[in-house]
Amino acid sequence: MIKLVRFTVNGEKKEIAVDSRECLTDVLRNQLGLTSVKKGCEVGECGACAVLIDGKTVNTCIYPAVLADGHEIITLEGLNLNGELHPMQQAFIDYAAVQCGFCTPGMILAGVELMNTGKKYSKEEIKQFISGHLCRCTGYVNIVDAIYSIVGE
Amino acid sequence: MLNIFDICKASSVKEAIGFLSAHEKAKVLAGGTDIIIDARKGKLEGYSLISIAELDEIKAIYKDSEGNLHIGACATFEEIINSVDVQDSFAAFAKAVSQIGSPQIRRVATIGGNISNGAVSADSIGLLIAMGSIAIVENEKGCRKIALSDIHTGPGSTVLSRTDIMREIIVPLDKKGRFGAAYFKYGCRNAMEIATLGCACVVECDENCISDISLVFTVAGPKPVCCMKAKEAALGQEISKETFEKIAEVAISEISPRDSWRASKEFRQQIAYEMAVRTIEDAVKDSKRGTI
Repeated sequence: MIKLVRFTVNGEKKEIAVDSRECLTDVLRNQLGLTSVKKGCEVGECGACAVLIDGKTVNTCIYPAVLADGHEIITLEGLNLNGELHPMQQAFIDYAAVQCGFCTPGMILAGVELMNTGKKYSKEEIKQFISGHLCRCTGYVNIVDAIYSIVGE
Repeated sequence: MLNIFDICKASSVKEAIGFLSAHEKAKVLAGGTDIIIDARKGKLEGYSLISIAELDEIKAIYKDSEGNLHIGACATFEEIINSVDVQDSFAAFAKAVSQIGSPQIRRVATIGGNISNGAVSADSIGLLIAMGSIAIVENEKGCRKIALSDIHTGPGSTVLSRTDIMREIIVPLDKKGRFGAAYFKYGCRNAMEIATLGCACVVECDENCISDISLVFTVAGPKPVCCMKAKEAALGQEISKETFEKIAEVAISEISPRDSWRASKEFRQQIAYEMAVRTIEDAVKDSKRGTI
């Protein structure tokens, strides 16, 4: 069934027709061109498809698009402030936390979620928090260090 | 595109039940962490999913006037872990469910879904059964109570009918004096892992003896195993490592794990003993928390 969904994406109000059988990953990628949202496992295990929904990371591959109605979504594309890199993006560069880049959008958004809580975190807590994001390249150390440089105790 | 027919949102449990009754091929959708995966695998072709995830009437977590803990069936594991009522009165349960999946999974996965799925490896059920919890379930004929220990009928199956919707779980704390609880999830990974074996224990101690104990194994049989012989052997026994070992010896005679790709039957039998000893010990320690 085609249904109308209204939500905010990266600060912009959107009203789009979606097929009720679609998950949010495909709507964001195909209808809105937001290809930072990656398709990794498509079963909610790898975190490559994660975006911020109302400020919290959610795996969009198992999140029906029709349920996004009324919510606020932020993808990696929405982090650039006036063309400048978000501090979390800069930290990932500074700490060489990016190799192939596939897990990176999800990882950065996870870091942004922690940053937006305003709290400080230990490396152990950061590791726990990114346990739903898989990286095949970096070995995670640089990713944890990058996030820690922003939200660390 | 998921290989299903449609996804709708219910505005009430009654509406969702009506939908299930009216459509032969219909299922409730809560967190979706299991059912959407089933849809991707093609198991739900032609099905309509009715979302109950945002229904406040089945999300509340609270303690009633008798001190019993009510957990709404659509409460997410993140909400359960962060609940002050759960942390105050059943902290071991919060610790148990914090081992499910990942933070993102726990953000959307619900306790009702974890139970209704009928998975033998569900991390929430061991402690709930050990505490004598009950589920309130509603369908077109009305509401009824089902003891958690009676819900599972086999791997992946429960007594729930097609139009049943779980409303809440009630953990009876009023009958419990000072109790301790612990859950041990054995798996290869520290996160995003399905239990190879689970052991839950709730214990009450009198001075230096065990006055009551419930030991439940999961992934050790087609249904959760309540170790009744182990309970008999434990009552009145002095609290000591030897006692824990004795209880564990009896408990492992009551389980019947199988070979699976995760582990062999022999491996599960071997770790079950050690898990029982440690879980009972942890539960006893938990019962003494806060005391000098």
